[in-house]
Amino acid sequence: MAAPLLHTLLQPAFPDPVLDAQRSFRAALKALAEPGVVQGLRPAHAPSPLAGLAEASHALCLALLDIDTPLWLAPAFDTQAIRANLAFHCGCPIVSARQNARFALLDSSQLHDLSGFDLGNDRYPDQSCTLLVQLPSLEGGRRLAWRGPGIQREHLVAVPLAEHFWQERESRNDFPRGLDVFFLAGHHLIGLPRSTQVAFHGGA
Amino acid sequence: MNAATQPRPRRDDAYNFAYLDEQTKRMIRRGLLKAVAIPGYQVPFGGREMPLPYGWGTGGMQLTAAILGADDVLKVIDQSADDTTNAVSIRRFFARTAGVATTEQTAQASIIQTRHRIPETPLTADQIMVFQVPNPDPLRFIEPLESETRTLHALKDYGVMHVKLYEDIATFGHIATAYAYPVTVAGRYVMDPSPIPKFDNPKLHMSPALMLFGAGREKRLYAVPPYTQVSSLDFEDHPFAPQRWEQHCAICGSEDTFLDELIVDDQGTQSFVCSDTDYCAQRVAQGRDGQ
Amino acid sequence: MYVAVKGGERAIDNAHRLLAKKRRGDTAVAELGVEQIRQQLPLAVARVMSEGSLYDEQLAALAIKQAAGDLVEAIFLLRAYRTTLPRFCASLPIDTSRMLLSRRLSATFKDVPGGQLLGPTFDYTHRLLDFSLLAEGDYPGPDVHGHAQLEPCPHVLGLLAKEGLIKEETDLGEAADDITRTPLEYPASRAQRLQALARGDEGFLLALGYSSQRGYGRNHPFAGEIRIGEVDVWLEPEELGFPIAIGAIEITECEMVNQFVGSTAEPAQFTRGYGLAFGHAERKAMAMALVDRSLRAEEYGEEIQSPAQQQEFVLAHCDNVEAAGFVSHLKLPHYVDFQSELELIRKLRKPSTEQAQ
Repeated sequence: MAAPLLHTLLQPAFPDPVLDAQRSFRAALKALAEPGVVQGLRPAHAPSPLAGLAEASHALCLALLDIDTPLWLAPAFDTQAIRANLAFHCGCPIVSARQNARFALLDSSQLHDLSGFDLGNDRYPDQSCTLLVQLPSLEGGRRLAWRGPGIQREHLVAVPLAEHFWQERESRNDFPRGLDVFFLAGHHLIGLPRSTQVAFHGGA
Repeated sequence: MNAATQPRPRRDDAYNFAYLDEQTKRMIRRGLLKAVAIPGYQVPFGGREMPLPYGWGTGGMQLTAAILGADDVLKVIDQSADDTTNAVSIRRFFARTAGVATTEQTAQASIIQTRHRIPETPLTADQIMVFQVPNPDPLRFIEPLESETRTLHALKDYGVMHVKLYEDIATFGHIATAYAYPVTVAGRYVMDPSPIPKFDNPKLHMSPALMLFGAGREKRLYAVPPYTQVSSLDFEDHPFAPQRWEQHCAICGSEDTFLDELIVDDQGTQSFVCSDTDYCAQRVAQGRDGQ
Repeated sequence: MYVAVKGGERAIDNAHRLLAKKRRGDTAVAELGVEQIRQQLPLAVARVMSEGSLYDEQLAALAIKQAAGDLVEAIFLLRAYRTTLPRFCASLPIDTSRMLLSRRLSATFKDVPGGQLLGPTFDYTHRLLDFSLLAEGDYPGPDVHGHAQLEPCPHVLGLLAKEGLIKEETDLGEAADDITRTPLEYPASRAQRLQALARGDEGFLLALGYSSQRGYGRNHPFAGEIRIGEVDVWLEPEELGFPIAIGAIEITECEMVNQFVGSTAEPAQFTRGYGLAFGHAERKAMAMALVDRSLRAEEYGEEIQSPAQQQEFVLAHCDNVEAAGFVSHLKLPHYVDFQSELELIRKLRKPSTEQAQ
């Protein structure tokens, strides 16, 4: 089968590459600075969805990835269209080994196993991988209390996630080493930095 | 009197928006996200030369350039005054290269770049502070080697810092640090809050605003997220105490702000005025005076 | 009543105009052209290009003009311009064994293949002011040998390497971090160190190199070879798959031979220090080579005792744009911090004043 022509694969990125990247970054910054609070991207300033990548996921890729950020793709996102567009618009290397990735794009099917991602080290904890986790929705899960920097007292957050995820996260968070996560759905995102403590045991 | 907000000027399109190229901005933005995730930890970043000299706020400027958007309203202060020459110069730089609105009023600003002060007007959750930092490592003057201090931070080994502070008490009866007074962030990293007077340290604790710190020459950036525990280092028998003045501001009468001392005649007569010029002007506008 | 000094904007504007006047000097004298600086101050241009890390003679000459001859300021101007430029790709390593030499000397051998070539140099000029330069006029051109043949000029140290007498320099094949994009972390690799030294201040490196000759981390140098000349720059674009020459640059290269080291595992060998600079820049290249060798102390198991051997000390302080900026920032207002110190020193003095009474 002949490969589809490049021009049919490539899709437009941000309407305004400079200012929309800035807006998306500010949403990500606020999401991480205020864990658990939903941040939104205005549709006029977000890219269109890309072959299974929601607007917010696509926007964060465009805003944060480039030649210096090796990216790991979950199988659901490892498509010709996503590869071609990220190569064209971001130029980020796509890596097959998790430990070489600075960013990773995951869907909910991957959250029971977060092994292999770089957690940083005690001298350079900033070298850890950042997870971009696309979900169908950011609501409807069990309400959990999030506490820590960025949260005045506590935030009750109901991201729909299986208990496995929280166990995986806890087993890999050894502050200052750890994973920082963005949950993405549609035009919205929630940040979960490694510094946030989430009480997930027991209770509904 | 105090200038109101200046509307958005025309942007100089000979340069990219806010001067830095997009790849550099992305690199700084990724660093900022890590800095927020690890409060108080110094993230190395590939600092660039800016068209202002190192030491004149290049770290703060790179951070401001990386976060600034077309709709932001920027305030720049040096010694908490908007009209000091370096503050004027940096404000003009962003008005020209980003075409953003600027203001002298703390409450109107969405981003405040500062050298050496935190405004007296309480900050809000919609504001970001950007601090210019000369020496990001609070351990640097105790241990000059970066390879060593990085290990001390990794091990959370701050014994040398406590020894230094304790030696001060033994020698002088007080901790002899009046500015750039070290703090512990979220119970983990000891951080240099930049050369703000220790008077301003309590404003870092549980502030609703995001605090970003940029050291251009040393190529480090770090952050204190909103609502984060920030405690100034001290000892039980020598608790931290910010500066206080017996005088009040000669212009607005304020008794609880940081005051600058002026020498007003050849006899050395002193007068004290608010260092925060905007705060002082707001109080005068409300009818307060120093009489 | 005192009012805080206002009018910063007007003051800045006028300061810029005063500076322009200072730069221009007496308008009765013809204005200096950028091309004149480029042609007639080539050594200043070379230094600005090296430490500004941008090979562009015209822009370096412009920076010198704009900086009114302050070379550290000109270096800063060129650096600040350089950061705004997109990076398209990296060239292939330049091959200095294929340089077209205008000067070449070895202090270690009386004669070498390709010969010694004195070239344009201040060496052996008597440093007597030449008052004839006060007047403009013709200059005596050099004697040119019309039928001279190009000869291969292999690296002198390569001849020693063939005998195994000097430590072989091997390409580790590792990607070298670009210190203008990734901050230096310690310990820095040799590639990073050399980048920092190449951008480093000539005066600082000269003083450090000199200190190593005076016993602060002695490494017994000989000028193995200094070569100045033009070398081709090659690019290999990914889409082409073969290299193309994009032009030639003038460079100065210095290889120092240093006293042998050896151990029970290795026979005694000479070692080397390396210096490279844009343009005709002999002092810089020699100083860099001395400091490079000093910074290899750890690699050769030497005791690190002296400033020139301490990489954090050398690398953190060799950049004159950083150094000049931080020293000059002391001119900025510091009255808030000073006020804090005043308050503190008054407090600290209180008990002792009371005791004295």
